[in-house]
Amino acid sequence: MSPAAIVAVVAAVTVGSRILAMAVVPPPRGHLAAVVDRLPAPLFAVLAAATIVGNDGNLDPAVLGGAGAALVTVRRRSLLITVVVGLSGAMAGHVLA
Amino acid sequence: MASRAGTNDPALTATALSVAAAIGVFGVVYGAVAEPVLGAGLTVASSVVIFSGAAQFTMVGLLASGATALGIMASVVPLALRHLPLAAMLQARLAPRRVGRVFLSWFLIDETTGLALSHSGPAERILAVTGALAYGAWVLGTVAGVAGASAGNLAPVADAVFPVLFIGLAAVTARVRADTARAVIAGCAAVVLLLTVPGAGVLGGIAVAVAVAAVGARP
Repeated sequence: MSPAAIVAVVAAVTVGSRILAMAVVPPPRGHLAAVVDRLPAPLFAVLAAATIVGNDGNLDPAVLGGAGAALVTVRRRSLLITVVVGLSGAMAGHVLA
Repeated sequence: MASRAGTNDPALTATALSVAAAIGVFGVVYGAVAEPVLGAGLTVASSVVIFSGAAQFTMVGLLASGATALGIMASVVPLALRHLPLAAMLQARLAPRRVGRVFLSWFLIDETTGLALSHSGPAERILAVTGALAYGAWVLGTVAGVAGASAGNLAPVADAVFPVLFIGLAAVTARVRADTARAVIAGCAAVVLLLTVPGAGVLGGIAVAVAVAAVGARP
C-alpha cells in the first residue's frame, strides 16, 4: 500500500471514529450514563499520567517540573492559574536540568 | 469550578491560545519528522485530513520502520477508540441535531473536549472555536516544520503543556470530593500501569479511568 493510501485510510479511521462517536452512537443511558457522569476527572487524570510518563517511560525534567507545579495549584480549581504556574514550573525544570 | 462565561471568557481564551501554541510546536516537530518519510505535500495533506497528533506520529514512525499497512492499522484503530468516551462525556451538552454533531466531530480531541466540559458556556461554540484554533496551529506548524523550521528549545516546554492542561482539567471537572478521590486513584493507577506495562498506552489508561468511574456508579 502506498504512503498516500495509508494516509487516506488513517484519515478514514480517525475521522470516521469521531463521526461515529459524536453522531451515530446514542447518548449513554442508565448505568452507563452514571459511569460517564463520573468519568471526566479520572479520565483527565489518566491522560495527565499518560503524558507525564510518555511512550518510552523516560521522565522529562520539564514535564515533571510542569506537572509538579500544576499539582500545587489544583485546590484553586482555576485552569488558567494551573496552566500559568505549570508552564513556569516546566521552564524551571527545563533550565535546571 | 467551571467558568460561567462562554467563549468570551478571557481565561478560556488564554488557555485555548496556550494549548494551540503547544499544538503548533508539535506541528513543527511533526512536519520535520514526517517530511523525509512522506514528502512535503503528503506531510501537509496528512495534517489537513487527519488532525490527530497521536495517530500521525504513530503512522509516520511505523512507516519509517517499515511496518505493514495492517500493522499501522492495528496501532491507529485503538487510538481512535478514545473518541467514544470523549464524545459520551460531551453528548449531554450538545444539541441533538445530527448534522451539527457531524461537523463538530472534526474538533473532537482530548484538549477541546476538556475545555468544553470545564466551562459552562455553549459546548458547541467552545468546541468549534478552540478546535479551530488547534487545527489551524497544527496545520501551520506542520507547514513550518516541512519548510525547515525547528521547534528548538520550545519542544520540551511544549511537551509539558499537555500534562499541565490535563491536571488542570481533572481539577476543574472534579465537582465533589469523591470525584477528586477517583481522579487521584485513576492517575496513580495509570502511572503504575504505564511504567510497568508501557504497551498498555493511552487506551489502557482510559480503561483504568472507566473502571474507577464504574465502581459504585448507580443510575
